[in-house]
Amino acid sequence: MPVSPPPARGLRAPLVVAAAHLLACAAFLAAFLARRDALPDPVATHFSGSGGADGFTTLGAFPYEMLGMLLVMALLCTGLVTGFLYATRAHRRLVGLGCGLAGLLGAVAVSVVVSNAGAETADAVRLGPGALGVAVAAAAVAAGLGVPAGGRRPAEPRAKPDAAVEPAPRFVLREGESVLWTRRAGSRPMLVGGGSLLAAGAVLIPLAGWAAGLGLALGGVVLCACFAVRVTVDRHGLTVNVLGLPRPRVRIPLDRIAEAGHRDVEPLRDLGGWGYRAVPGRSGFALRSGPAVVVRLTTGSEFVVTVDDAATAAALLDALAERDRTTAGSATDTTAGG
Amino acid sequence: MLVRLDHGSPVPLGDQIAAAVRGAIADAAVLPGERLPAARALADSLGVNVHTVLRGYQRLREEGLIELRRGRGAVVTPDPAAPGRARLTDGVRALVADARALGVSDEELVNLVRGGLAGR
Repeated sequence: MPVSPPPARGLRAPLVVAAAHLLACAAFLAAFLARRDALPDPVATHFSGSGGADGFTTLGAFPYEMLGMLLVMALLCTGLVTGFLYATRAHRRLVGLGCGLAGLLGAVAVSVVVSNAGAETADAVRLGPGALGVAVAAAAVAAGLGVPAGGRRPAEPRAKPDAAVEPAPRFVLREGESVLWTRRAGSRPMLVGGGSLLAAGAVLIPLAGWAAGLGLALGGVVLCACFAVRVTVDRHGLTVNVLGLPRPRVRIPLDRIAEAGHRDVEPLRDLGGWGYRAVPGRSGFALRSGPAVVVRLTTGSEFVVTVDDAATAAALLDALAERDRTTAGSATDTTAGG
Repeated sequence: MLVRLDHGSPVPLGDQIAAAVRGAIADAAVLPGERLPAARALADSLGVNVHTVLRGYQRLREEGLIELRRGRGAVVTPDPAAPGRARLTDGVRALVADARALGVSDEELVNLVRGGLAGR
C-alpha cells in the first residue's frame, strides 16, 4: 500500500508565509509600543510622492488600523500560497512574493511609527525615499530567507489508480418515473470559522475602518457559502449549489457522466485541501472526510463531492445517466411540462 | 432525501411528494429545523408544476411536520420529536391502507383505534 506523504510537508510553505507576516505584525507592534508616548495625535499614515504627509488617523485607531491591514494581507498571502499549493508551477515565486510582501509591509509599518515619533504635529512628518529603500531591502531579505525555508513544491496528490471506487448498486428506474435525490452537505467547524471571521470583520469595521474589516467579513461570507451547500441528483445531472440560493452553482450534466460511484475521500490527501478544489485529474467539493459521490466524466477526469448517503446518490446518478444515454438517440422525452 | 414520482399511479403526485419528504424526516435524512428545497427548485428537478409541490408541502404543514413561511420557504418543524411524529403519521397511513384493503369500514377502524386507546 502506498504511504501518503505526511500533511505537514504540504503545509510548510503556507506556514512560512504566515510566520513572515506574523513577524511583520510583531515588528510593528514592538515599534509602536516602544515609541507610543512620542507619537503625535493624529498620526500621519499616508504620504504623497514627495514624502509629505497627506493622510491622518487618530492615535487611538492607528494600531488597530495598521494591524488590521497587516493581518488581512497575511490572510490573503497565506490563502494564495495554500490555494495554489499544487495547482501552479510558480510555487517558489509565490512563496517569495508572500514573504517579500511581509518584509515590505513590516518595514513600511515600522517606518511610519519611527517617522511619526518625536514630531510636534503630524503635518511635519515626512517619509522620504530612504524609508522606501529600507522597505525594498527588507522585502528582498524576507523573500531570500523565505524561499529556501518554504521548501520545494510538495508532491501533487494525484488520483491513485488503485483507489477503489465502489460501483453504485443498481437503481431500477421505472418507465417515465421522475426521481430526485437531494441532501444538505457541509462542515460545522468550517461554518463556525466562517461565522467567527464574519463577526471579527463586523467588529473591526467600526474600530479600524472599512479596509481592515471588509476583507475579513468577505472571507467569512465566502467560507460560509462554500461550506453550506445542497447536493442534488435529478434529470439535469449532479448539482451543487449554495444552500438556499439557486446560484452560484456547479452542475455536471448527465451527458458528461461516464460512470458514478462512491468512495471515502480524505480532503487533504485526495484534493489538496478543503472547499472547492481542483488537482490534476480531479476536482470537486471536499467539505469533510468520509463518503463521497465520485463521478468519472466523459473527459476521463473525476468530479467528487463529499455528502452523506453518497451510495444512494451515486446509484441514482448512474441510472439517470444510463437512461439519458439510451434515450439520447430516440426522440422520446418522457418529462412532463413544468 | 429521495423522491420518486410514479406518473401512472392513482396516488396524486402531491401526496407522493409529501410521502417522500415525510419518509426523509422519519429517517433523519432531513433534520428538525432544516430548510427543505424551494418548491420551484423541486418542481424543476421533477418536471412537475410548482403547485403540485406546494400541495405536497401544504399537506405536511397540516400534519405539523413542516412550517411554511413567506420568504423563508419550507422548514422542518424545529422540534426534536419531528422524526417520531413523521413515523407516527406514516404508521397511521399504513393502518388506513391496510383497513381499506381488508374492506374494514372507516367507522369500524375508528372504533378499533378507540378500543386500542381505551385498553392501554
